[in-house]
Amino acid sequence: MKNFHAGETEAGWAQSGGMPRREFLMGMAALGAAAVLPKTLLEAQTPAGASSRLFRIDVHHHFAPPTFVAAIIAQDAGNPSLRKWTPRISIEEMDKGGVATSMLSITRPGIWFGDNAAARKLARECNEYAARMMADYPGRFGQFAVLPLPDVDASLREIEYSMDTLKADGIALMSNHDGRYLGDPVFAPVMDELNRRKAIVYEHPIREDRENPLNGIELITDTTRTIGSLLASGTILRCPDIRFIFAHGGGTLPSALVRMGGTAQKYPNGLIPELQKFYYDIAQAYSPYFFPSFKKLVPVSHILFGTDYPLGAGVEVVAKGLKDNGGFSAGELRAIERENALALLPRLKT
Amino acid sequence: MKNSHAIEWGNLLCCQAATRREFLTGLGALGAAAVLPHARSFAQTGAAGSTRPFRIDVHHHFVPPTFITEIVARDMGNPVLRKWTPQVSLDLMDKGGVATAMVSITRPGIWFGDRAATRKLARECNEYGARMVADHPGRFGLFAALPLPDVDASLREIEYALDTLKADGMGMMSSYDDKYLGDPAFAPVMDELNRRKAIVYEHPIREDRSNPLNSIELGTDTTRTVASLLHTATVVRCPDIRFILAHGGGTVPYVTARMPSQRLPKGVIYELQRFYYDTAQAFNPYLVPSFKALVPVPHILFGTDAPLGIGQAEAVAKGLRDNGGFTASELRAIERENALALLPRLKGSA
Repeated sequence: MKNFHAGETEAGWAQSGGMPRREFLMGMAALGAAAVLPKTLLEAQTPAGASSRLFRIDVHHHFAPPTFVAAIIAQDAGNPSLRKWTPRISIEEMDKGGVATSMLSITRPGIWFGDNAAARKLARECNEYAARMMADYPGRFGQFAVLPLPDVDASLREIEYSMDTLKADGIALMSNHDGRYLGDPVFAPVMDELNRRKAIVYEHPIREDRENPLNGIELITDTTRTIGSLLASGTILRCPDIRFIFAHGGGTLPSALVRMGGTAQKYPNGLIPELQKFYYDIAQAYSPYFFPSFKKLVPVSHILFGTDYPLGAGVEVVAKGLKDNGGFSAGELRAIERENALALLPRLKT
Repeated sequence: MKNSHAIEWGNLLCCQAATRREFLTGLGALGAAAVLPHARSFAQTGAAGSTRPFRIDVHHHFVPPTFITEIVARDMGNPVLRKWTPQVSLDLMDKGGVATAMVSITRPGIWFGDRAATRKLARECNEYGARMVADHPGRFGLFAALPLPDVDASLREIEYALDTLKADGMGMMSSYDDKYLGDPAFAPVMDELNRRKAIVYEHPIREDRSNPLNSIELGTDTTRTVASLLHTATVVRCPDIRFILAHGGGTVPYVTARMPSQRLPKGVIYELQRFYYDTAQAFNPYLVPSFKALVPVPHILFGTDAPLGIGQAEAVAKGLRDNGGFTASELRAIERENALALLPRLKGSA
């Protein structure tokens, strides 16, 4: 890892509207003071649901480092709100929404635009940027490092660098890379290495077709496709130690599995136990219509809080949707909003 | 696609690889158990010692000889279709307590790229369906096929099917030539169906045998066409069409948040709740909860997918009973009365 001195970091972020370091430290001081107070007293002071306390862990939070922004502007791709992102925007939303820690990942359109060398460089820059955020805002960020897939060799190197040197918390994979889904045999060496490391793999859909006004449906379904690919290829059996987190509540799983029966024959106990080993975040997946089936399929301990920030509606809207539409008990909500993530990411406990 | 529905469901229901025989044995046990309550509740209308048919199956496929010729020539469609005769349907209906089956053409549909051939095939299928309706009074209704994407021919076929053949509605595939039902190209057809306050029975179509994940695409194709109807506000322009969506609407209940809403003054959910949905393939314990949360009971229609896979009515009915949490009167509404409200001419049947 390069040695990032504070000046470089701050200059870069200040230019793009980042938070001055002093302000940040004052915020931390205030926070520290609050943390001293007994928990019960704090809760009494915030009867509305403790949005002023930082306790949530957001496993679906996007960062858009300057080099990524430059790349998506060049491609004229990605959600426009990504272009305005700075670390400060994340911190402000997290403070407002009671998020203690956000797990950073790159969102669509991803970092591969057809040039492997450019993708390798961009992956490295993104991952180092996130590592710097982790260092500069202790405890506030974690990282699911991006891979330069479909370049398998470079991805193996990036797994090593990001996990061993940058201490990334896991690896983020797109639902497909160059049209190949995650169970594709081409990616087997990457999956095997992630399995060897018992890595967390954070999956996020990718589907960019601006000619298609219905692309939103294709996008959410892309998670379903990649789950289908992982199941059909037997990757799940071969790599049982990967902890998969799927975005957006797993897409359209409860309906799609109706037609995955041919695949189910590969699994001694059918598909349901396999699907229940996965973790799922609730970003964009908290409507009163989504939850009933989602809850039936996914054990509470495998549901993780996620916002999609800076996309989506913001932390408080997600938390309200979860609370109003999920029918979860207070204990279950606490598990979803924090404790389930801690079980997966124990380093966040401190 | 292989004849795999039974195997698929065997896996899902039993959580292990069930053979077809095992599955059928299970059904036998099921049928025996199911006779009692229904024999009792319909004792006043039923013949002694057997279940009087009372269900109305809105999702039931007929396979006229000319259609079989086409799919055999192209090696397309589910092989089970090739063995179909009207007697196959009648036997399934008698066994499953189905008074009336609304017949429609299933995938791959009748459009293979030649407009004249499709016009001819549509006409032959529709006349065959009308003959079944006449030959077996009360046992069949017809959702007539359209020779889309040929709009002019389709307008003529609507007139002939509805006015001369007295079809009960029109069967439409989710897409024709990759154009979904809200496509402006089909607007004249939709406007005419709206003028006639027609029932439109939608069924997904997606044949890509090179894609191992085609089954996910198939299930999603109903979702795409719903998104298309919302995106172009066809549902607002044509409020008098009564749409029935196959397979519980595909993945619609899970992606309500991704549906296009811009041109819907009353919102996405209002429009989604105006559709009718059938229960074919849509009664597993993981799917029903969200389906039920979205769709009002009066808009749920009994459907089996016969003669495909486990189209057996008793299996569908058991799924609804076991997984739906419906009351006895709600089940009766779903299995019969909701369809009668939509198709009052069937009131004399059963």
